[in-house]
Amino acid sequence: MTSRGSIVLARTAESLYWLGRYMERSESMARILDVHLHEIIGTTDDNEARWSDQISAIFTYERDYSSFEDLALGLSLDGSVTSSIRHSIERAYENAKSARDAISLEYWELINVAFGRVSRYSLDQFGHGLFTFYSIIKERCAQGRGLAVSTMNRDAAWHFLNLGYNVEQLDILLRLLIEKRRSEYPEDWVAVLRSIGGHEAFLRATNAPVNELGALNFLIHEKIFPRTILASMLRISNILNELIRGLDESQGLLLPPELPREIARLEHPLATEVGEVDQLLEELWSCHLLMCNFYYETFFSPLSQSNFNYPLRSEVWR
Amino acid sequence: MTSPFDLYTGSTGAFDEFIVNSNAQDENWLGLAKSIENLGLSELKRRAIEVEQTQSARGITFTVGGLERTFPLDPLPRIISYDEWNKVELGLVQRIAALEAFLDDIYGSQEIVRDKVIPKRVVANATQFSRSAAFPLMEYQMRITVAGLDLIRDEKGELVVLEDNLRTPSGVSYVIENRRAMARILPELFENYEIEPVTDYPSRLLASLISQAPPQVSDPLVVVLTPGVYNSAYFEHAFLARQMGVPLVEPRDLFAKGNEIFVRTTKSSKRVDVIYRRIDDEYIDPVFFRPDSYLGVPGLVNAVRAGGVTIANAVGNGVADDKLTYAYVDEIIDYYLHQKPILKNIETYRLEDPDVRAFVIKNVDNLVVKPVDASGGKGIIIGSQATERELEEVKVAISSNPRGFIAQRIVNFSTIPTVVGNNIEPRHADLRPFIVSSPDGRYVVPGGLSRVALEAGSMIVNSSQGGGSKDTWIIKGRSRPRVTTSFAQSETASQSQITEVKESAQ
Repeated sequence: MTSRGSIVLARTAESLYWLGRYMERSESMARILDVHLHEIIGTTDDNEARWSDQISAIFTYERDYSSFEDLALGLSLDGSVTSSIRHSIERAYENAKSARDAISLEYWELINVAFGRVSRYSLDQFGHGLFTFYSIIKERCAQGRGLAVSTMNRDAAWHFLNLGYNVEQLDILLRLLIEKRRSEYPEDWVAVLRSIGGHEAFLRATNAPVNELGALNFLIHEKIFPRTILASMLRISNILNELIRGLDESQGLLLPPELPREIARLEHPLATEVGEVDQLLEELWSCHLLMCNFYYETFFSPLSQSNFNYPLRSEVWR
Repeated sequence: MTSPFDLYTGSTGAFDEFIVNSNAQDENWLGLAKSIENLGLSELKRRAIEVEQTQSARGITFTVGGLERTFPLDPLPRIISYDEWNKVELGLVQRIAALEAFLDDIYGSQEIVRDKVIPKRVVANATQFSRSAAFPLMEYQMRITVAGLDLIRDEKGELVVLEDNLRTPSGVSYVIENRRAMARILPELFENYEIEPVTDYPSRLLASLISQAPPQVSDPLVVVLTPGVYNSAYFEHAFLARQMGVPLVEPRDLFAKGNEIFVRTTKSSKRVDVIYRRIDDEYIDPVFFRPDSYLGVPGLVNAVRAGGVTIANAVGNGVADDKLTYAYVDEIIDYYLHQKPILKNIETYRLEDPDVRAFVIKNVDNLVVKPVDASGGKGIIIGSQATERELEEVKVAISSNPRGFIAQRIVNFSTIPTVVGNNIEPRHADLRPFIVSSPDGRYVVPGGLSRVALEAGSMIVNSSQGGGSKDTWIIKGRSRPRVTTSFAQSETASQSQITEVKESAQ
């Protein structure tokens, strides 16, 4: 049966993609801030300052802050900070509304309610209870992901939503690793693993104590844990193959060769040495940026037929 | 046990739909009152609040001044008998048929003007008369695909027409959602009553839109065109698109090329055949209307004219729901259909006659004055409730622009029992039925949207001004109680509960 489900407007596809990105961003940020806020307790002032710098760089926080807690508060509940969790939830809601005809009622309902709740939270309400806030966000986002998985057709609309989730996962992990590698002091790699919820997964997969080389290789190369770089890239590649398959042959579209090349490289069984990591991350980052442009040019802005220059809806992070 | 209806006395002056019908021993209204008595008002309210929370979670809202609000649903339905509705339905179909013919004529050879049934100036001076739309349609197209008329029940209890909305009438999504909600609030009544269903609407609308596609197209692409997420009726636009299973598009998703309209998709572009548009004429095409409109699709009107695409409703319908045209609807029905109007109008004063004008200016405090071309209750002055200054202003406005206004008698329209606080009180309500027309015939949604003014004595039912809504039930008959139920009722209360438990366990 051929159905109209195969038609996705360019604007709707863009909204779905950003919906996925903002939902994933909210969840990932909640996880990272939660872990760091916890580790800060009882640590040295130097360590706190260093982590504050890292986190503010990862999430492009451009204001002054007096402590890590102050920073975390701004990145969580301040709606005027464009990279805060609250802002992400708001943007997720706007995009969901714009793609209302392409997502399921239950998924929409969850986002609508989450938005209503989060927009009512005030800074003082959670001043000393950010952990509660993070667990609410993590729960909501996970519920949303679950509802999307179990209530939506696996059509093109789904692929764009799913693409957004995976691109954001990749984006945040790359940022995290790049910042952590910049540090001149030995990093707490257990905290890094826990930031993506992968500490236990690491132990179970490797049966080894956590060290820098092991953690980096796990986070970059491991296939069996879903949030690693390779796992995200493999899923992105699958989604794109599904989407490209439906395109007219005349358009002659192929995936940029960078993506399969990087995947092949990560799949190579030889472990990456610590000395090579920075260059590898650099290359993965530029591949990621290139792919983000590819999504825009291919799917979201086929405006070439028009004389009108419409402003693009979504901001880009960097 | 006292019934919450015991203290209900109706309102003075207006026709109260409960009082009159229960005095006449109408079994449907009495059955409703009995159910509420059994249920208790507090339980009814508890259920209503629960349903409102669900509605708010699902985003069943409209937007006022940037804020999203739910449209409060009163848990007491309005009941209209099947026999009365049959007559109203005929009247609605007759009226829309005549107005459709009128629009075709006005944008064609203008015979009605030549025969001097309507003065030329009434048509030519209507602000909504659209020269750019003045071309004949293809025979497979309709001008009024969707109409939403405003009816009120006058002091004698007769449903009369207050306004014709033939441009982009909204509210039908609330009719469907309200019915869904009522099934959760009063499931007991749904078992006993045979209520005419309203859920057919989206498929009827889709069928009508598909039948208006250009004939050479075998598998037409229909879209719903919305101004965007900030529009007050965005919920309804998304609702209809979802219910019909068609894409919801914004103007920037569409572009014109060679008198055809295309939609930008992720896989190149697709030709659009029918557009159900929820954007006003003024904003639809910057080439013909407002050049400053960002909302429009440049080239859309040309594509329509060339037959490359169908839009519903057609451009220029505003001339037929102009309030001064309203005053001529009886003549219009007679002229095109050679029939007597089934539904009455409210007595309307045409202000172009100097004597009438003088009379209206003298008695303005007992009349309603309305601008002819506005919709949504804008600019209406109710003489008895207006300030001195407003009355002076309206007198000046009438004298300087008689074509711009009409005056009508103030109708003390009917009241219906409504839950207010911990009581049931009379509140004024109007009724907006929806009519879908297609080349093959017309479909009237049984009932429609009853909008109720929640403040005591208020006659302003608009949702933007604190109005609520009611589900409207057209009841065919009362189905006979099921044998098991009547058996259980003859037992004592505790036994009947046991029976219920057993039933649900099976």
